[in-house]
Amino acid sequence: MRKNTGWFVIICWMLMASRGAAQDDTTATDPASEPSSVDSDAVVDSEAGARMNALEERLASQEERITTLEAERVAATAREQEKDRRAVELEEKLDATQMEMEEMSLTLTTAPPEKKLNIYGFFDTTFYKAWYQQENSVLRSQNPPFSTFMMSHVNIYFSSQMTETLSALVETGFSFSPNGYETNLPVDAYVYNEATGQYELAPTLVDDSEYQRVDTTIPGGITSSSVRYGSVSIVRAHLDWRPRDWLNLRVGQYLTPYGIWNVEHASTVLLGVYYPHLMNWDLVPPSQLGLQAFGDFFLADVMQLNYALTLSNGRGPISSAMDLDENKGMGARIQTIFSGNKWKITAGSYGYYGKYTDAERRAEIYLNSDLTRSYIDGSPLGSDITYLKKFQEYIITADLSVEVAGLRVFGELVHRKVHYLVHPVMNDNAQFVQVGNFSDDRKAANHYSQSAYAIVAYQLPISAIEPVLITPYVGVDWLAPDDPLTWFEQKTFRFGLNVQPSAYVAIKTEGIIDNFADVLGGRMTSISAQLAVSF
Amino acid sequence: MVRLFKRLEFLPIVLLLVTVFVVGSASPAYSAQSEAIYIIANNSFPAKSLTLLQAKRIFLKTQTRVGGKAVIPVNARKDSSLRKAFVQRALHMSATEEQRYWQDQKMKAGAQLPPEVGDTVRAVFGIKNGISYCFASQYKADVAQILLKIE
Repeated sequence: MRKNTGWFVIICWMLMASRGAAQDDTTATDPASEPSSVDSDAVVDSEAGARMNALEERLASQEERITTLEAERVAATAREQEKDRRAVELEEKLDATQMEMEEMSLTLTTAPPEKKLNIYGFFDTTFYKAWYQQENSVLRSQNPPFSTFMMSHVNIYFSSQMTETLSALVETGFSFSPNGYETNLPVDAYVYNEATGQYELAPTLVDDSEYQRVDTTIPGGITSSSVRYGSVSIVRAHLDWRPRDWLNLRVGQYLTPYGIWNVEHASTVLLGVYYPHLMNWDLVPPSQLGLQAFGDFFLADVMQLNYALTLSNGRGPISSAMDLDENKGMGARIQTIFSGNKWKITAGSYGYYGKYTDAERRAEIYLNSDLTRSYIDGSPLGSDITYLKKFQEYIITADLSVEVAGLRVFGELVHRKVHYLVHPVMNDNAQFVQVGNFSDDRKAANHYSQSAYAIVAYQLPISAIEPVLITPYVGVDWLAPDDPLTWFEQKTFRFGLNVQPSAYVAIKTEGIIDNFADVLGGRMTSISAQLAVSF
Repeated sequence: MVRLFKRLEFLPIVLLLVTVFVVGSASPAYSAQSEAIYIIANNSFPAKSLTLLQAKRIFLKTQTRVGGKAVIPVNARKDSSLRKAFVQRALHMSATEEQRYWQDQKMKAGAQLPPEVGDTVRAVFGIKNGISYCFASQYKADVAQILLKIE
C-alpha cells in the first residue's frame, strides 16, 4: 500500500513537473517570433503529449487499483467482524443448550416415573362344529351338538407403574355366563327287551335329578326389549414390588406360574384355538389368591434361571373369597432359559401341594330344657363347621420349549395325585362305598390324573407379505384324568393355521380328531375358526 | 397316529410347506441401514460395556437391572431407520415381530414397551441409568458412553 502511494506521489510529481515545463516552454517561446523552430517544437509537443497521455492512463489505472484494493480491505474487515459475531453467537447457543440439557437431566433424575393408567384388552369369537362317530354319542351331552358361534373372552386390563419398583395389574373378564349354564343333566336308563329286541325306558331307573339351565333374560324396562345380563370375573389383580431382579413380590390374585399355555394366557397370544386337556380339566389351579415371590438370575450370558414360590388359599369352592381350612396351597416354580441371538430353549417345572376343603359353617344356640339360653359352657351361642369334602393334591408339571429360526416345538406334562380325606360317599373308615356318578363325583376315588401335549409350529419365512405372519402347526394331546377309569382316556390329534395380519389380530383355524373309548362314543371330529383381537 | 401319518393325505400339505419355505427363503431379506449402531448409555449407567444378549434382554425388558440398579431402556421412534436397523441387528426381529412381542407381553404380564424418542442421544444424556442406541454418525462424545458397537 505504502509502495503504491509512493509510486503515486512520484508519478504526480513527474506529471506536474512535465506540465510546468511545457507551460514554461509555451510562455517563453513565441511561435510568431521564432517561425523557424515551429516544426521541431511541434514534434517535441506531440511526444510530450503522448507521454502525458500515457502517464495519465497509468495514473487512472493505479487509482482504479487503489480503489479496488481499498474495497477489498473493507470487505475483509467486515467478514472478520461477521465471523467473530457468529462465533460469539454459537458459543452462547451452546451454553444455552448445555444448561437446558443439564436442567432436563436434573428433572428426569429427580422426578418420579409417570403414574399412568393403561387400559387395554382382548376378545375372541369362535365358530365350532363337531361330528360324532356314533349318532347318539354321549359326547353330545358334553360338547355343543350343533355348529355354533361362541365368545369365550372379553378381557379388559388396567395396569399402572406407580413408581420405579411398584406396579399393579388388574384383568377382568366379561362373560355372558351364567346364561346357558347347565347343571344336573338327567340320565335316562334304557333296558334291552329281548322279546321286542329294543331298548325300553325304565322309569324306575331314571335319574330324577332336576335339569337346570340358567336363563338370565330379563325385561329391559320401558323399551320392552329383553336384556340378558352377564357377569364379570376377576382373572387377576395384583400388586408387584420389584426391588431386585432376583427378588420380586406379588400380592393378590395371580395366574399360577406353571407351564406355557397358562402363562401365555390371552387368545391373541396363544397359538391354537383349543385349550390343551390339562387346562380344560383344571389339573393345576389356573390362578391363586395369596403371595408370590419370584425373580431371575442371570448365571451366564446365554443362561437365565427364573424361580417362583407361591403361597395361597389353594383350591377350594370359594378360594377367591376365603379359605375353608388352615392349610395353604404351596408351590415352587423353576425355569431355565438358554438363549442365543436366533434361538431359545426354555425348560421349567412347577410343583404344588394343597388341600381342597368344602365345608359348611353353622351357628349354634344352646338352650336349657325350658328353652331359655344355656350358659353352662359360658355362652349360649356357638358355631360348628361340617366338612363336606376334603382332599389333598400333589401336582408336578414340566414344560419344554425350543425356538430356532421360526420353528417352535413346545409341550407340557402334568401329573396330579388326589387323595381324599372326606367325601360324601366315603364311610367312617375312609372307604368309598360306591363309585361316583358320571357328573359331579366322577373322580370320587383316590386317583392319579395325567396329561401331556406337544405342538410343532413353524412361522413361514415370507418377508414379502410382511406384516402378515403365517404359522401352521400340528400337535398331539393326551389325557388320562382318572387312572382307575381307563376308559376315560382321550387321545387327540390337532392341526391348524394361525394367521396374524397385524400385531393386534389373530385368525386361527383348527381341526381336532379326538379319540375316546367306544363306551364314550369313539371318535369325535371337530373344526373351529377363531378371530382374536387385542386392543 | 402312526397310521394317520402313513396316509398320503398329508403329502400335499408337506409339499406346500416346503414350497413356501423355499419361496420365502428366496425372497429379499429385510434391509436396514448398514451404518454401525452404538448402544449408548447415560454416564451414570452401572456398566461400561454390555454383550449383545444383555442388550437384547434389556430392550426386551426381560432384564430390568444391571449391577443391582434399575436401568431405563429408551427406543428410537417406531418408524425411524435407526429403530428398524436396531430391531433387525440387535433383537434379530422384524418390525412386525417386535410389535407382536410387545403386544403379547402386555397380554401376558402387563408389560409396557420402552418410551420412544426422536433424539436418543439427547434422551440418554438426560436420563439417569438410561440406555439407548444411535448410528455411529449421530454419536456425540462426552454426551453418552458407548457400551457396545453393532456392525
